[in-house]
Amino acid sequence: MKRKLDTDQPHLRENPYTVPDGYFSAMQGEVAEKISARVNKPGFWALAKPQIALVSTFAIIFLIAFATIKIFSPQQESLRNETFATGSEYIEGHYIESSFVDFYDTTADTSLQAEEVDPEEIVEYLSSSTGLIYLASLE
Amino acid sequence: MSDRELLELYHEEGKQHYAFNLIVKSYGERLYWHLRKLVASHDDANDLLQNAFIKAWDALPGFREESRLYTWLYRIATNEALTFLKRKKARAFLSLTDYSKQLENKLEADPYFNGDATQKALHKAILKLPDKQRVVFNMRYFDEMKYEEISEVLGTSVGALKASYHHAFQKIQHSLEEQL
Repeated sequence: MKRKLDTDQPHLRENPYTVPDGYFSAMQGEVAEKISARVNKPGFWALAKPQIALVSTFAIIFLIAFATIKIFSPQQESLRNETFATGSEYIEGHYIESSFVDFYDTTADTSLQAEEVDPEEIVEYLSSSTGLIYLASLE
Repeated sequence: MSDRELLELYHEEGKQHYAFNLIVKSYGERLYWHLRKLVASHDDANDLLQNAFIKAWDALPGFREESRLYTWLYRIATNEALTFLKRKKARAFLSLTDYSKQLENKLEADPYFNGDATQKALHKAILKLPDKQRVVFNMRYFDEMKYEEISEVLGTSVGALKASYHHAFQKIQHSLEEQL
């Protein structure tokens, strides 16, 4: 017949396990030794930390210098970013005060306009300029 | 020496090692027995205890004293044991063996077990429990910890712990009825 065990028996709550003699003092020594060894060997982060700090410092200095140059040269920056407008936009926007001159506009050129010349003036001119007649005869 | 005194000593310049050795001396034995009841083997319990103390040493600078030092150490040791058991069970599963049976065999062959037949039957039954139930049962039954304290260590609600202990107790009774 199966019997029910009384788990409230005091001896059941006692610890039945044992350890080798002197175990606990030996364990304390081993733990102390392992911890000392860990102190002497710095971890990856402890080694990498100063290197990362150095690189970060250089990066910050570079960024400050770059930002300073950028701030104190605003014209260059504005020219770099501006899109050039066409000629007519400059004129309409009154960026250029002078009006556009068409050098091929012959109607506006007074020097080229034909003038009526009196035939007598031609004869007088030819007779006074013998050099020109001589030159014409050579052709 | 109280927890506060130990921690004050630890924070003094150049006294970290001395203070930590005192912590190991104060709590090492209790933590060892807690681990030993979970894994049965002396060698495994020793390895787990040393690993737990090394982890505690690494984490102690960040210890914010929100819980008691002993509770904090208990948590580290318990987590270490649960991780170890999980790994062992995974290996046993791959090799198609039952890890609970292996634990029982270890207990049977353990030269450092001085209990009588009833105690052996009880500890065999405990080793058959699921890991977390075993932790709860041991903390309540052997260490006589309050549910609130166990809750602090395991981060589980008191209600869930009571249910877990009740289930564990039923399983042990059933197992003992079969053994004796």
